[in-house]
Amino acid sequence: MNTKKINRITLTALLVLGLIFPFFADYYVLCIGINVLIAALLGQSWNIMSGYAGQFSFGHAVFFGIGAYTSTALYTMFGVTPWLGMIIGAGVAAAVGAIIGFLSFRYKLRDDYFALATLAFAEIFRILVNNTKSLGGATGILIPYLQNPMEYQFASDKTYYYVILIFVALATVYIALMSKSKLGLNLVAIKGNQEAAAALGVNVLKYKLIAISSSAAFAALAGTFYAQYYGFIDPSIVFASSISVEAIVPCIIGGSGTLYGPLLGALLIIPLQEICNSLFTSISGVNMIVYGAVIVAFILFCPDGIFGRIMKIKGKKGAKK
Amino acid sequence: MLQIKNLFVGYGKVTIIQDLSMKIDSGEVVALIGANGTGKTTLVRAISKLNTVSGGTITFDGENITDLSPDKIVEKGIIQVPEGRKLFAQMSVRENLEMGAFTKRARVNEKENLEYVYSVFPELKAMEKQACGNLSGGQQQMVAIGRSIMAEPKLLILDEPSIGLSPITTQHMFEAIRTINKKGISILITEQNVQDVLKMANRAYVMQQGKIVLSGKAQEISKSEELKKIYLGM
Repeated sequence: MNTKKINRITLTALLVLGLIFPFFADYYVLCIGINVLIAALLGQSWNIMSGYAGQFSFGHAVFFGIGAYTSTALYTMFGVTPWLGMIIGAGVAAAVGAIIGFLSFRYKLRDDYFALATLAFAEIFRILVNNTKSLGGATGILIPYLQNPMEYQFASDKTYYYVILIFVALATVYIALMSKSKLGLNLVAIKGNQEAAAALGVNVLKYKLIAISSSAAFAALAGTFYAQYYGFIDPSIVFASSISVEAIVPCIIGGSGTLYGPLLGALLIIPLQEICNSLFTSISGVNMIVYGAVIVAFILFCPDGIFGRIMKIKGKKGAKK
Repeated sequence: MLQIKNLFVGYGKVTIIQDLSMKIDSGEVVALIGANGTGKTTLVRAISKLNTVSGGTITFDGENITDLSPDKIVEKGIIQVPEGRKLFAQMSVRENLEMGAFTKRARVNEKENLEYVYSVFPELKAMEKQACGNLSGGQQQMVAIGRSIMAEPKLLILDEPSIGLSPITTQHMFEAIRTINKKGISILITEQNVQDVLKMANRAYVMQQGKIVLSGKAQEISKSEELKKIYLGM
């Protein structure tokens, strides 16, 4: 079986599952499905910048939060429809991403240090919004629920489900096109060896900034969706480091730098979280222990993620020929 | 074709290269030699703008390139094979070679250049599908040089190509470099392997503590007493 075949089978399976899922799911399971897709969108967003371009972000919550707050503030203060707010939010997040990237890379921050810088920026934004009265401060913003599709509000959770499904599909198509284009090649080169890439004529800074910005834009889409779906945001939810973690974990489980890895990862990790939550209700904290243990197990035994593992096994066979 | 005038290069507040001038003519092989830590790598990295230049000028084909970014330098035709090869370990030999053809100029002739690389290094053709991380040091160096040829250099900079290679592999490497030079590509090569590189080069510069202390025809330098003094510190 070659890579193309694996990809095609995965794509078909995921697409069919994604499309028919709401018809078999009750309300509770559908909610889990939506959460899977939010994590998948965050995961794909992280995948662009960290999986493909190798710039490890530990602060994707900053882009998620910017997306959520931009569309929500524009809606509640000025009545701008969140559909438009979503696009503006993505633009703002992309700009902030470029600024974070420029500041970090100008001082040649790399690897762990860059990851710490992104973490710091997420915290800065959380504290900033926490103390901005006009943005609701620590109490957050409640979004009036009008059930108007023009205002990005739907009567049925099924509609929400398909909306986020479309975004996930968009992100996946973007990555698929990117990985085959010159942009993707540049990013992979930077990840593989920044020095060599620069010596071969890759404008390292430019392509890193493109990676961060596009990654940030998709995370912001997830943020707006979250706000519209749950109808309430506050800084400690949308700028939380748990959001940043939620962007990373699907990639670690599924395989970062692979097209479908984050989707598969989200599909495993979110239900696992739910199962842990419902099984271990009697003793608090056990759910997190189990959840953590699964992640540790993955890092130990399958450090390239499920998809990375499949590709690696294939690569070895290919090399023997 | 390359002219360096009164160049200063440093890291932070530390100046490594002080008031250095040198030139490379079209079609030449120029050796840059000197003991460890004299600034050879710092100098060649500055030419590619992988290090920042704090003073002086670099001109290439009559054009001032001192303030260009690394990718623009590559477009001008100055390609560097960095010290320690720096391959994309996860990628196959062929993919690594293809990565060399980043510039528009080089992409047009990608196929012919690939054929040319395989004619210089026939070994690579046989293992084009293997991951580069699994190759021997010599093979990796071939890939690194091949990759830089894919970028269509006018001036090829080789930073210690013999590092970590056996004497026989080094000989092969130097032969390949000579073949590449015959195609009309000028070469600047830094080396620890002084006698061998001086046999191959037309001219040589000897560096000591960030300065050129000796320069001239390679043959003459290899015989000079001065060189021994510099190396043995006598």
